[in-house]
Amino acid sequence: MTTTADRRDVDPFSTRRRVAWGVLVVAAAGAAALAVGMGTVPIAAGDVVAVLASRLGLGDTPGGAAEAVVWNIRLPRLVLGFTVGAALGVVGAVLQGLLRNDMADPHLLGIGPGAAIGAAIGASAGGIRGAIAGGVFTGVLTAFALRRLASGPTIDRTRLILSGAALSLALSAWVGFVVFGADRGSMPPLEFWLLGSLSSATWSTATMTAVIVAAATVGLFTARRTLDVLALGEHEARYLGVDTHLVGTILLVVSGATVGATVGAVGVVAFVGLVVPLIIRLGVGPSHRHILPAAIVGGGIFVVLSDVAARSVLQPVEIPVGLVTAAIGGPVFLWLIGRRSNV
Amino acid sequence: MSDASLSAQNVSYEVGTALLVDGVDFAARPGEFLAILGPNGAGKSTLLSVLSGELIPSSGSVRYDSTEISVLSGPERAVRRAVFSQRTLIDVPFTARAVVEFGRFPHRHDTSISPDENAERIHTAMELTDTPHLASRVYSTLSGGERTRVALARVFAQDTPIVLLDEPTTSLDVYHQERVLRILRTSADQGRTVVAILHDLNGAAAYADRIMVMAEGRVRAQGAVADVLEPVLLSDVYGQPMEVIDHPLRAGKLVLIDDRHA
Repeated sequence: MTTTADRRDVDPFSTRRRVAWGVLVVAAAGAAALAVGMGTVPIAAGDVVAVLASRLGLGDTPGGAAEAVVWNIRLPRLVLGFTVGAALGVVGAVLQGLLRNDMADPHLLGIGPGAAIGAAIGASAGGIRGAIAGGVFTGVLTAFALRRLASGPTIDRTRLILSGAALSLALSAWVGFVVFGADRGSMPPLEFWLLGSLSSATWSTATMTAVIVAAATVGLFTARRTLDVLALGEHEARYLGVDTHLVGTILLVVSGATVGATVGAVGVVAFVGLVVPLIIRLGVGPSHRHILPAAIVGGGIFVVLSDVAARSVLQPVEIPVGLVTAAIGGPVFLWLIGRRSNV
Repeated sequence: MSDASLSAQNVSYEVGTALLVDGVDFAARPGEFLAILGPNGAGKSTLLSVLSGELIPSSGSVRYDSTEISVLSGPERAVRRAVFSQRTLIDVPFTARAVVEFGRFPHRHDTSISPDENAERIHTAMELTDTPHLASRVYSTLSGGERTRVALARVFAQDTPIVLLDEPTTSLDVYHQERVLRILRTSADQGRTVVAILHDLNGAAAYADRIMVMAEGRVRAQGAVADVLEPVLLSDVYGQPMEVIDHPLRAGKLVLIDDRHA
């Protein structure tokens, strides 16, 4: 009698979701094209295709400047930008689901700045590998600290968010102490850590980050149904057999590791984890089975496009990508919040 | 006592110096519908939280069958008891159907239940609560009474031998109050143990097997309906004069509020 067919029928979000995915796919393709084609050296679409084809063993290499720019600079930068955005998008969605609060964002909660401390120390000791390892380590530590600050008979969500905000500011200051206390030249400057930049992207940075983010994302994805149940509230979730303490700790720690890896690679890129899940939820509905994959793509698009803007708005000067994400994300967040009170 | 599916032995719960539940003893068998009555602040909801495993008693113990619930994990408890509370009625953007489907969450690893059976349980629970027409509506857009019925459907979709309910009829109209009480009666008749906090004395009188009256954290009386619904006790417990008469339409009792003193 009741089959999977009429289960689909009762989903009022299905049409909207199809539209949303259409927009995401088109936007992702457009963002990728812009990211590879635009810059101080404009590259024709044909040359980009030729470079990709030759790398896949289909045809001769076009050689010259186009090859070097596309393969060595713009593609790794595109991959890294998408990876970072995807990570921040999915972590933001998970934290907002876990804490049932729209202000939940890995950087506003202090995880990003916390990760930046370890990343900066790691960078001076071991370059990009050190930065990523250090970022993961102190990202996880910050997540544990947050969990401790909010511990009690239930996860105190308000206390967690307020503690996170204070932690975020305090830890940002500590990043400054680390950077100014270290040897000039042994690590990227403060603005890299606190505002983010994709300018040093290489294939090795992109691959390392992508592997960590992919593994963590698979892990976070297994929690999708639990996150849905948590939307009913912590008590209800426990009535349905969810160990809310354990789930909260695991999700915070995996989030810390994921964000830590991105901070090691590109520094703190603000507002992505805050704004992307909010917009995505409007498009795909409340179920995390749909939110998480869409937040991955949406976050990737946001950072890639912001990076295109960071390279082009003040050409030839390149500005930190976090300035662009904040400049766009801030007003969008305000608009989303205002829109809500009108309905 | 040994055939009880839900029992409490000398259960107390205190917060600071306040003793919210004080030495409660009871046992309920499969097939039994126990109504808990009492004024606001009597400790009924706290007792229900203790029975659900949500609160750990300061002393005493709660058992499902012969198993002390403190040794059961969250997932193990969730397949043995379902809980309806007023907390269920928060705003969520899910559809009513999705909310009911959450009732199947504790059974998600049970490979002996086919997807069709799962869908069937959801459907049955929604039929029972008169909610199929609400299936694709967003839960947060429903009226209070509709939400209550959807939340109840979730509880029945969970399909557990023990069902604990905190004021399941409070926001319902007369038709749906009767309907919910009848559902609870039927669930008990099907072999479940149903424990419900009610404010509707006559509803309890009509549908429950046994009544427990609480006041100030203690059990003031428990037993068969006719023995417990007694005017002196009720008037004392509620601080409101009441009268109990024979029901004019059927066998049984009818509680009247004596409003001449009002």
